[in-house]
Amino acid sequence: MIQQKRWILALFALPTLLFYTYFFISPVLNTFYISFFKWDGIGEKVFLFLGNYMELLKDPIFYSALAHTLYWVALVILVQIPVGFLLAYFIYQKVKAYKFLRTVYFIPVITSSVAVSLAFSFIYEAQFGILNSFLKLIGLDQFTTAWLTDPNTAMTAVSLPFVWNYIGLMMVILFSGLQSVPDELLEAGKMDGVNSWQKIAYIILPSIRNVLVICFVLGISYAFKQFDYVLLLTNGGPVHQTEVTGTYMYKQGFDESRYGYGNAIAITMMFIVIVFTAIVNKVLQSKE
Amino acid sequence: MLKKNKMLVFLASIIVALLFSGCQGGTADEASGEAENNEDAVQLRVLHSFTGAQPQAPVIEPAFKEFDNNHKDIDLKIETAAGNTILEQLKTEMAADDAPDVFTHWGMRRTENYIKNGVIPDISGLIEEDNLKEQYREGAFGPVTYKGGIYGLPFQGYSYYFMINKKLFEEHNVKVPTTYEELKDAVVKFKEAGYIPFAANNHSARYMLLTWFAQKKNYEDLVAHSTAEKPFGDALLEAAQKADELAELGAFPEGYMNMATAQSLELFHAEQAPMFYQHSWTIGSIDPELLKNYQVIPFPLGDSESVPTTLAGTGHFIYMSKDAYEDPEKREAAWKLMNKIAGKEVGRQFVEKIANQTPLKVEYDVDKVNPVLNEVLKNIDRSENVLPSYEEELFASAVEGEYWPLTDSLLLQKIEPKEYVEQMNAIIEENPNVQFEK
Repeated sequence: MIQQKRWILALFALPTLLFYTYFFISPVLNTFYISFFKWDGIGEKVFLFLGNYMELLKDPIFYSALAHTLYWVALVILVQIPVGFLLAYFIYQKVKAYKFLRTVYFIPVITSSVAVSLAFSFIYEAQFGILNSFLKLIGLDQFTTAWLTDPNTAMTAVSLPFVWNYIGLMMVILFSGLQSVPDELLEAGKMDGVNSWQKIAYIILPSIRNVLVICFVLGISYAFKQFDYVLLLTNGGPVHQTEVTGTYMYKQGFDESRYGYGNAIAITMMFIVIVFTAIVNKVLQSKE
Repeated sequence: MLKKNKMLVFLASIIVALLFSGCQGGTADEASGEAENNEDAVQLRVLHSFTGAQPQAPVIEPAFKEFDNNHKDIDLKIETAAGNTILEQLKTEMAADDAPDVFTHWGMRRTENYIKNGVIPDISGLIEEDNLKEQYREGAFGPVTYKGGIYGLPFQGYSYYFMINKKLFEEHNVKVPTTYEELKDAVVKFKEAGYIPFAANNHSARYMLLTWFAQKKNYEDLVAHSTAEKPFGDALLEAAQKADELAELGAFPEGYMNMATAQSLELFHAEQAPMFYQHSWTIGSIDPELLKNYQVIPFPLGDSESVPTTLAGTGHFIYMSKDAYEDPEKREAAWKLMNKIAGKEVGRQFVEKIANQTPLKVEYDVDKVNPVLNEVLKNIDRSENVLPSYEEELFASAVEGEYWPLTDSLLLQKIEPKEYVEQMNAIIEENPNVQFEK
């Protein structure tokens, strides 16, 4: 009887399993398969085995794009998650109109990346842009620059919309984590006379470690997947100085018609993200 | 409770309706012809990029519609991908073995892969049968001629044109440049007066480099360099030095590397810049109220050995897919449609209505033509040397991806002009133009 029920349960899982296999597993396997070929998307595939991967190892533009992507990862860890935490902690204090603020902080997350990019392109525009006009207005002309072209500012300028866009998401995740911190722990801390900093460092952060892992994993995978802001604001230029792995992969596939090489970049990125995620899990779990 | 359920049903039906309308919009414009109801009508799926704010849309879209209305036996399913987005759309459809029956695209520089793989058929037989070549200008088929075959019909011409704001030149007592040295003087004087000398983006800077190079070449030379038969030498080095020097002098606006062409035109409109060198598709976007201040002049000569040169040719073509070609009914219908779009009437409208050049030998009413286009056309007639632009016609498609960032590196002073020439030779050596091979 129990055996029969198991079969029925398995049958219920089958549609989801088929859906997942068709739409996720099979494209990944196909990407992996094509990465071993030289293929322009139309003609015959030429088997290269590891040829695309060997070329990737020697490709300076890929390394530069990877370095830029890692910069985005650093911004996630050093800016996006900490700011998200501060906002979450702020509304966790149940300040006046905290529900309204929670909505306001979350609005960027549901705003289309095209709209956000357009808004930031108006801000950064070198001749008529809001940022340069403001700097001129307050007498800081010497700081005006072509934000998206200047090698000193381009990478940060193009990554800021992404950081801003996802702060709200981090805030919501961390806020839900904060709500699960047991009141008894906070009360005990209060009775022991901990200050605010000690409360955060020794009670709150250890209590929301699992939520932090989610934020890190999401943030890292989002940073690696990023593509739209770069494409819309700079298209990776000038001279690849804002190229990230996502745009480089896209360009190799669609602009250069090198689908095999583009797929090799995709597989390499997937591998790097898995390694990063494993490290984050290992580091944060080992402290438990 | 009942009220709540009704509300839920109401909301659900709105969502379903929105989903359906969302799925329908934007992809296929089931062009309104009567053929829709005719089951025997030949179905043609068309993909083109001239929609929305594209300057050619006011002529191309009505032309497709008119064709559909006038041919009850042909049913057009029109899909659009504005501007450069057609590149990805077409690549995806070709890779999925689902090419549109008829589509518009650039020449060999962006269709070489399709031609090589046999997904665009050779239509030279059809062209000969209808004796079509005579209605086009000489060289119009150049960018779609590949290893002896012809693969598309030309319908849009191009040229690069140099325009100045004569009011600003007079106000600041600057001589209108006829040589590179005079151009440098003008750049310095306008820079001192607080102007951005050129309303330019990186495309304009590349066009300048190509023009100075072409001033010392003829068509045969250009072909020889693009096929790697002859390496680039002093002429490219000198042209690169000039572009590099202008960039160093601050001739171009801040952030010009990422600036859209339309944005650079706005600098010219706003009188923040007195000079403009661009592709002719921009002529239709020039503010008509400011035309009285503008003047088209010949591109300044590089040195005493340079010859007055205009880079001009054919930029856009209409193609049919191999599948359409192999089906006799579709081939006939597609051919009719191609002849309409690449025909004289559309050509005339290109010139008169949207200030674009046409590769067709058409008569048009000069009074109806945008004055800037009139001047551009006169300038082409006056030029001793009219040559195709490398990047529009002669570079193999694989060159573009490397040549653009390489030229940007030169303009950003990341590489020296000498290195630029060496690297250009290496790129061409690796990707020579093979269209002239038999």
